[in-house]
Amino acid sequence: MTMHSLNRRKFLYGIGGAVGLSTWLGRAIAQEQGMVNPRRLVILQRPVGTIYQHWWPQGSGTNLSNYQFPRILAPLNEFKQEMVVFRGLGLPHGGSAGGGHERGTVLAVTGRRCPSLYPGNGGDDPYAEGPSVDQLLLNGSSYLRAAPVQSIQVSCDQRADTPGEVSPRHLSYSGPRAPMRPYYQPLQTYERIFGTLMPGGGDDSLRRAHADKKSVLDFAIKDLARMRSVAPSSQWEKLDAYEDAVRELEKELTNDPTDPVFCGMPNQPENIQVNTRVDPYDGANVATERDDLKHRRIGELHWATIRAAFKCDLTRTVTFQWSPGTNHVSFADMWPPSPSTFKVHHTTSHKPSTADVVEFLARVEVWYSQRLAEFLTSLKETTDITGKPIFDNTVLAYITEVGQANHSWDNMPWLLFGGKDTGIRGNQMWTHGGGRPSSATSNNMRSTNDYWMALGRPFGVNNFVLGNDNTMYSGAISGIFS
Amino acid sequence: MPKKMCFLLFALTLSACGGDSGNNSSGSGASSSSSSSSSSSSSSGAQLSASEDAFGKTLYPLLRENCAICHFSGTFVRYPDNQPVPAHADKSIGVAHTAITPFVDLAMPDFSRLVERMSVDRHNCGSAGECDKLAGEFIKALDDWDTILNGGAVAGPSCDPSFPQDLILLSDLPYVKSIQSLLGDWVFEQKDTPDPATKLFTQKSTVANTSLINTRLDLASYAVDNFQRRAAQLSGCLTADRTCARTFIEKTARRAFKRPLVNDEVNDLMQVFDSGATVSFTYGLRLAAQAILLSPSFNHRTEYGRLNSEGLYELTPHEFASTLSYMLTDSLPDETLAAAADSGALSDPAERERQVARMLTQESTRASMEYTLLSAWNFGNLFGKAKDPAMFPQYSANLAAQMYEETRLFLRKYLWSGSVNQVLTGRTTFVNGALADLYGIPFTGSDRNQFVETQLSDDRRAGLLTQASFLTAYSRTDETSVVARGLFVNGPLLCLPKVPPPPLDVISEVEEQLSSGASELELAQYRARTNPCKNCHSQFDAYGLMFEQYDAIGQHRFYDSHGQSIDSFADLTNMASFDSVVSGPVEFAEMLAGRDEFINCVTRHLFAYGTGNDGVQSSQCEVTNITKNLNQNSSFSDIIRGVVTSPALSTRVAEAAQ
Repeated sequence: MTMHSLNRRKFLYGIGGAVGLSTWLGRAIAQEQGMVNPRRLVILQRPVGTIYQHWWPQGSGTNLSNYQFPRILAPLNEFKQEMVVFRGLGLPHGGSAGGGHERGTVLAVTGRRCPSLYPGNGGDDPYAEGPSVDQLLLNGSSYLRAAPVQSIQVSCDQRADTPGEVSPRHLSYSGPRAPMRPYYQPLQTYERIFGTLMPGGGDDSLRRAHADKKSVLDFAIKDLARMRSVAPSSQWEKLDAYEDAVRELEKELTNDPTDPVFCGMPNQPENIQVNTRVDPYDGANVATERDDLKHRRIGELHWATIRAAFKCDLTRTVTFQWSPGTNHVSFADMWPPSPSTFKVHHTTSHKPSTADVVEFLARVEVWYSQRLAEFLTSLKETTDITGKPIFDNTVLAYITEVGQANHSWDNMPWLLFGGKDTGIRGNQMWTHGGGRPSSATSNNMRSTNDYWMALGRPFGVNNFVLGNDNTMYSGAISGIFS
Repeated sequence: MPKKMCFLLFALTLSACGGDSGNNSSGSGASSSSSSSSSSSSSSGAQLSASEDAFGKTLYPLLRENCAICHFSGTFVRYPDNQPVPAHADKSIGVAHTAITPFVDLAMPDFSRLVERMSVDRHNCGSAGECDKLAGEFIKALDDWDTILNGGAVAGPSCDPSFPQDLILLSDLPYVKSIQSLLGDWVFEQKDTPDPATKLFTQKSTVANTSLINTRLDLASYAVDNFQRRAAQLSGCLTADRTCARTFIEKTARRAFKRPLVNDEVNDLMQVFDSGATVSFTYGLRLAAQAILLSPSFNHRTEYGRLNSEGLYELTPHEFASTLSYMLTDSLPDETLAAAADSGALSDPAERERQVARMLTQESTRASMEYTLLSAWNFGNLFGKAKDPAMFPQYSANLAAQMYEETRLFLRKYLWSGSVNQVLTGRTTFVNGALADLYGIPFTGSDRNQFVETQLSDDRRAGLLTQASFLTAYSRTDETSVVARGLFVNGPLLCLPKVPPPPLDVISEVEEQLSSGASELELAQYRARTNPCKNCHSQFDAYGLMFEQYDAIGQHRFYDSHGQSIDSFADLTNMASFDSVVSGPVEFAEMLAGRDEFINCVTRHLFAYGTGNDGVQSSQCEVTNITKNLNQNSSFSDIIRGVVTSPALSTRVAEAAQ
């Protein structure tokens, strides 16, 4: 950024600028002066694993440029320089309980053993016994914490095996058995980030709303102090969790309101009718309605708000779930014998692996890859407060909760993307062939915990360790970030 | 006498006498076996030896609870050399005693092979902590066994209160219902309130984080926006009178916080009011109400108690009122209960019984308890059930909801008068036109949308186990499920010994079988002859097969989906808990109604919900201390009273003391 630009920003700051600019400008100036690094973390999950024959790059060596991307990865071809493909990762599932997708989701995002099940909920729904990776990195990283909204959780579909199932619906946990509910309605994500300020609206009513919220939250803090004075010490941790949550919300209010127009959202998202009931489907998993169009739209709207939030540095930590592993999302135009048939993704994945089923699942994977490519492109094409592409300072983990449809937890098809300022050593094909395998995985895989531990480096979290004990991890995978 | 010597003599006694008599075989006179005659009989009716009797009172109940799925005579579970695993959890105490003897060392119980199976091998006992806990229980039981044999007395299983002090964050349903109790049902639209039919069967699973607080902030905001519209009327403050506002706020907070207030609290709330009152008087009331709804005191309830002379913590009257109210209604104590707490009357057990009796006459309490029982049975899963529209064109989300409603109305009829076992055998149900068609019975009402009380006159249906709700919820999309229905009977219905999940390495074979197109009967037959499937499936598949005469949405049929004729007879011999043949679900239910398992299991569920301890077993002393006062004629209200008056509900320990 040139001196001219810096002076211009200071000038605008001095005259007050437009609504909500003062805080933004303050951060921009701090960034200019090298005081703030808006490094961002996105964990993006798609369900039901992959089809290996259409996933693994074809080639040899460690240089991705020497590999050809098969059809599922083909939409991501232009991002080779900024990505790492991992082969040989396994979820450290030994000693845990729960169904394939359920256990897989909890292990994927917390890295901790999950031996206990919720009562009911199909009998295969494990409690998460620790905080999730995004929250651990957030709490350990001053880079990530320096945002008004500490973290955002979104999901594009909530339907799962049973109405009450918890584990496949959550990618974030603030602590043991403490799921952080995602927003399903894009408008809710928007309102969380931008409050109730109408795009381009005045700021008096928003200031009133903020003042009211602060008044209410202040009372909560006082009430907590009273409760702590009479609570046994064994319960203080619970009160701490409540207080931390309240203080975090208070912090969000200390910033000036930010006009979403300024952040690139001229309109608030439309109100979408989010599916809550399972559509009828037959024994061949043919549904009566197609979901993919709405599914895509919900994803796009969530992503638009996330991008705007990144642009204005309103948050830096995001988990994005397309749908639970045990989903009921139906896709049209994917079933080879009959493109007009609406096939349900998860339930079809449990049919025998006929050529048609395999092809259907591969096409759905391609669909998700295409959406990912669109998201990454949008991050490259949008600049943040430094004037640089948002992508430059963003790390995106692309994960899923099973290796493939048979619930295998081996060879997890995970990717990692990072912009040039994250220090990622992209253009890399990483294959497990060295390092101690984790005994909690099967078939001597390298634990997925080691993948996450590697993310400590770009976020300044030293000695980031994930897992109950060293049967669940070997150590951060080296050579991913410089 | 050293314990080891006692054990050697004991072992000699057994080997000489085959374990059937209490005679000393040693001339030393120093026998470890008690000279007292046996005090109970084995299940075969034969007199038990002293050792068997002592075993029956100490270790045997633990083995039955934890090992009965595999370790009984006639089991399919085998060692690699094809010998059956020991039958130390057999129905017969004598058989179990003989089987366990080689694996226990009464002189050095810690080194017993049985204990090592838990503490070292972690054999089918769950997490390391759970295994160690069970190992500890085995060691104590072995000590007690030895004590009795030596003529000592054992005080029975210790059933001192053991649940710790707790701070409970309200889950979504109680939070919303509490707001409605405070401000009025109308502050939320029906569609915005959590569905009680899908509530989680636990009160203690909610943990605070930003997303939860943010959601509650929004909910509270929504509710008070509606409240503000009638604030003047509801508060009684028809003019902008600050004193009136204070009175209203104080009264509301007292009820919301479920305890008396301290002065500071009211002053702090008035500060919030004053901040809002700069906009308008009613806005001030709105803001103060919002602060109350978001406060931790409203969002939590406490079970701290007051220390008594025995070192235990007795819940205060206000805490007990909350515990009782959230157990029975998922909501705040009503005015009458709150007043009994305020006056201290609720410290009196007789007053507690009076309050319970009063609350159980209320429609809202009965509805809440019905939902609680349905939640224990996982019937809420019905709402996520999809069925093949080609095979079941009449099925829809609406019909699923109607099935649920039938069962709820059925419970309404049978839970609140007469024996709770009527739930198994009751021949009156409630159907609308669609359900009558499903059951193939005439609809006698004038409006097909209305539910009509209907007598079931044939032997095809009676009681819960032949209702569409159960049969549909525990089936697949296009087929029944012997396994799901069998596991329901084994678990949520009767609380029989738990069945471990299939080993990971058979999962793909299971999927292959399910996709093979075989009928449910063929799949069950395959499991019955295949290792390792038969080891566990032998214990519950027979229950599931009984229901094959009802399809995946509960319609009666004589032939399955493959055209095979259905035999509803169930051979329950050689099952860990039963030993008979029944002609089908109706006869099975009648048999159950003459036994204890169902009532004990319902007791367990209510106890688990009331105390928030969903891991509790029906054989645990806290539950058996309730069920020992029940019998086959006991009503649902009797069970509730038993739970409510249990010391476990009203007494806590400090967490460090566990």
